[in-house]
Amino acid sequence: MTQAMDFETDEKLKLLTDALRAGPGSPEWRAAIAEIQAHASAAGEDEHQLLLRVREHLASGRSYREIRAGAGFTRKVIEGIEREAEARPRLSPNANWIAVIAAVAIISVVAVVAFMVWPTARNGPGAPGDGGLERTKFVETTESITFDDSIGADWQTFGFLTLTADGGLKPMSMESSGGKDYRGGGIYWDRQIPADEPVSVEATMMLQKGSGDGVVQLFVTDSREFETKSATSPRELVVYLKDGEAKVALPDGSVVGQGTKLKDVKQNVDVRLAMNQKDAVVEVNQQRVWAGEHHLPADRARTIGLRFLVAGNEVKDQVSVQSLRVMQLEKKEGSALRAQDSGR
Amino acid sequence: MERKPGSNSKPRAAGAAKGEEPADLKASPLGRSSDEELMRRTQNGDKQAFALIYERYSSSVLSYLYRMLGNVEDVESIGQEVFLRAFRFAPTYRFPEKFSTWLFTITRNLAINNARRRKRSPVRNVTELNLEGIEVSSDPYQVALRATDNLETQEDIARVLKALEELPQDQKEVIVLGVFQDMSYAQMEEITKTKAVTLRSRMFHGLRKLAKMIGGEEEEGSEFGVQGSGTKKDVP
Repeated sequence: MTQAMDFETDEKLKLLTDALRAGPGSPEWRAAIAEIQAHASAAGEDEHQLLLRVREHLASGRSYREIRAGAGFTRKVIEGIEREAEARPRLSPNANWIAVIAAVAIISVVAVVAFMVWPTARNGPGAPGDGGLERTKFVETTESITFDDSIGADWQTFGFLTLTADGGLKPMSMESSGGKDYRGGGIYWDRQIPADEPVSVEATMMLQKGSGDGVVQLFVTDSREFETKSATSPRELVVYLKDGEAKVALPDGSVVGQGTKLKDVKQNVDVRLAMNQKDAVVEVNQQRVWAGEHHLPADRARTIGLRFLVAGNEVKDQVSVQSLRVMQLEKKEGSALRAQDSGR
Repeated sequence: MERKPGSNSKPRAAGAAKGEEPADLKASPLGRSSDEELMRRTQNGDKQAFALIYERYSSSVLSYLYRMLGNVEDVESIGQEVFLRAFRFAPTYRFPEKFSTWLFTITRNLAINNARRRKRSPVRNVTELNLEGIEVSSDPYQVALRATDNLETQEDIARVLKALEELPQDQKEVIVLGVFQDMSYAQMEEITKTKAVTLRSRMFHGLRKLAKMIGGEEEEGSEFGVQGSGTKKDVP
């Protein structure tokens, strides 16, 4: 099941997902069983049977976490509704219409004023532009992963350091090399984002006190040729946390934007990187750190990844990544390219 | 067994204790009305109609919240807010939109807002809580025990239910809505504002993760739920 799956046009997948939703005993279920039996020798059918078995288990456990409202809960709801009904103003239909029209008029005026004023206010005089990313709405989550106990199937590891997912993604414990050379290791998302598709990547990272020898990076690259030791690729846009500070590095290696100082205590840091074909915006803990041209090639698909760099001392648990989410404008099945499709 | 949303069978007046069936609601035309008809009456100020709506949907709404949030305290407060908002904003409901879709859109939005507020706060163990008025069924092994006499299957069921809690939220949501709440992909599409094809993918991949846990354990005898995905490459 490593090939890209097309849930939009593959009739067999549609049949299977219909059956998985409808459950045992449904016509969709019987049709799926018949289909699987008819192609008993085909690759992947064993997995489909296992899926149906899991679905049967869920049906058997349907009462799991089932709650019924008791008398106390119901009394509170009904009392609340009684109060709501008493408080509800008895408006005539005309009064309702007048109120609605007035509200729409007010909202319209506020929206127009906000539209005219907001971008200028946010960027400030002389601030780099964001290519409209500020107003871009990323509504479709195309990947969402927490690293509680595993690295997702759609993620590949690379580099020198071995990573583990145990209450967060982090480098495995290792003996001190005594040197100051950085050794790197990371993971990248198996799918690539076409350069012309805006994307927003949100990662929650954790810094422990005294994480000076550990660096954690969120990056976007146009290449998957990573150096073995440093685990870096030739051209990357990188947001990184180092020495209690968040910084941004462009593909030419230059560090841009204002470094954001982080508290020297255990804390979660929310990093957001939004980009389109030409521009990017970086936010750390909801504060904009940098916006401007990212200088990645405008015609090469991009890869999203996380990387750790370690120098000298043991850094296990000093830096980690708790979760990561990739959002796009809207779901385009197949728009994120599988690695094998792009000739990896 | 949870009553399926939208069913009109045997309505019980809200506020009545179990077994108490107010005579004025027995087999009344109101009790046999569709959800949409009850909402039309509610829009005209009929509180009794809304009480029937509550009766039909309280269990599904609370169960959905508990499965998604895993926190009884939140379930109680949000559950109340769901029905208060549904009553308050009843005038915004427009036929022929399916009522359950409308109600679960409210429920989901409140759940998401709550999850944002509660981000990273520890979830209390339900067995430690004893809140008034809520009956819970939360132990997967007890649920599995009731489902079958086969010990091996019981174990598998319990593991699947426990593993469900570990799924990414978007995959878990599709399973909770589609499997536990019997929502169609079209309904889930409206509630989550996510395309059906994406929901199908989440359903597939979510169940595949659960299947891997079961399959992997049978083959390797490994500990449940802590295995990586096996995709790590060897590093030098």
